[in-house]
Amino acid sequence: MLNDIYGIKNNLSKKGILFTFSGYISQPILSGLVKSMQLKLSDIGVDTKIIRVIFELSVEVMQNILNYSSDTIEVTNSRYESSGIVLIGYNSESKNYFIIGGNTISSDDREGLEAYILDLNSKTKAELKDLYKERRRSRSNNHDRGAGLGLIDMARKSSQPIEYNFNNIEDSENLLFFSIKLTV
Amino acid sequence: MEKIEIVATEYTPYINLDPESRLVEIKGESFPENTFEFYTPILKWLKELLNSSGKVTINMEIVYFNSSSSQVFFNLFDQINDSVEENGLEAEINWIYEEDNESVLEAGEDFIEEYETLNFNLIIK
Repeated sequence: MLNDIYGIKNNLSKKGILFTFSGYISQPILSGLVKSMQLKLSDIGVDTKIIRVIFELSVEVMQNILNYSSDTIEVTNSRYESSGIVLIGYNSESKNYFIIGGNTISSDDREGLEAYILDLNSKTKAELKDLYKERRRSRSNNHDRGAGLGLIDMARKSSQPIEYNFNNIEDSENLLFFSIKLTV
Repeated sequence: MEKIEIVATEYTPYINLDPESRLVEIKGESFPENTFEFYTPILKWLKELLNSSGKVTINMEIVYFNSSSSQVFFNLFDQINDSVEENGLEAEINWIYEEDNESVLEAGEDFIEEYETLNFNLIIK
């Protein structure tokens, strides 16, 4: 195991990963990660506007994991920890920052989620803005812990269409690993 | 009605609800884990304030907010808009933003489009 650590770290570096967390994501971890990232990116001279979008997308990605991961523990009253992974990095070839989130979901959710993302990806920024405002007015996607606006917000702020993937999980037919990538 | 002041945390804004000056002040960053739960007492307080007469001022000085907070702010402005339209309440909303914060400016513009009759001001800090 210890032998692998350098390889894991080196692999992440080669892929341009600047910040990552894998495990049970909680609100304090989320907050600590985005705040330290904000400071670090500011230190190395990244444009304030770019940092802001990375910050905004990272929060939405991690709060989506918190709210929708199928592996979630209620720690105390309405405080949750959800298993997932988040990676924030820079692609030196395309000169873009990217935010990746991943978590397990129920296999039953795949079809709806995929259709939703494809629909968002087919829309222009103006159409996304209209959809966001319409959903906010109707409150149709509101649930106990959020407004259900996160994915539309991500599609609005990502400079590229939302990329996504589903992986099968060993020994489980009921679960899939869902990952999402946004570009700044 | 009681004056309520809530200190800011890393992910929740400073809140000042002052019945004397009929002021609601929300200042800082807003991305709580449970956004609706956090804002419920504030919307409740506001509802009570809107039932009494006199001009209401809302100062929103938000640096960053998540999509769930955007829903809550919408609900808050919706309450005010109803009181303005139905009871002729006088209300002023000041959306205060830093000059280079385009996200917050655009969000403010989105709200203006929603409530064309509200006295909603975009103010550079």
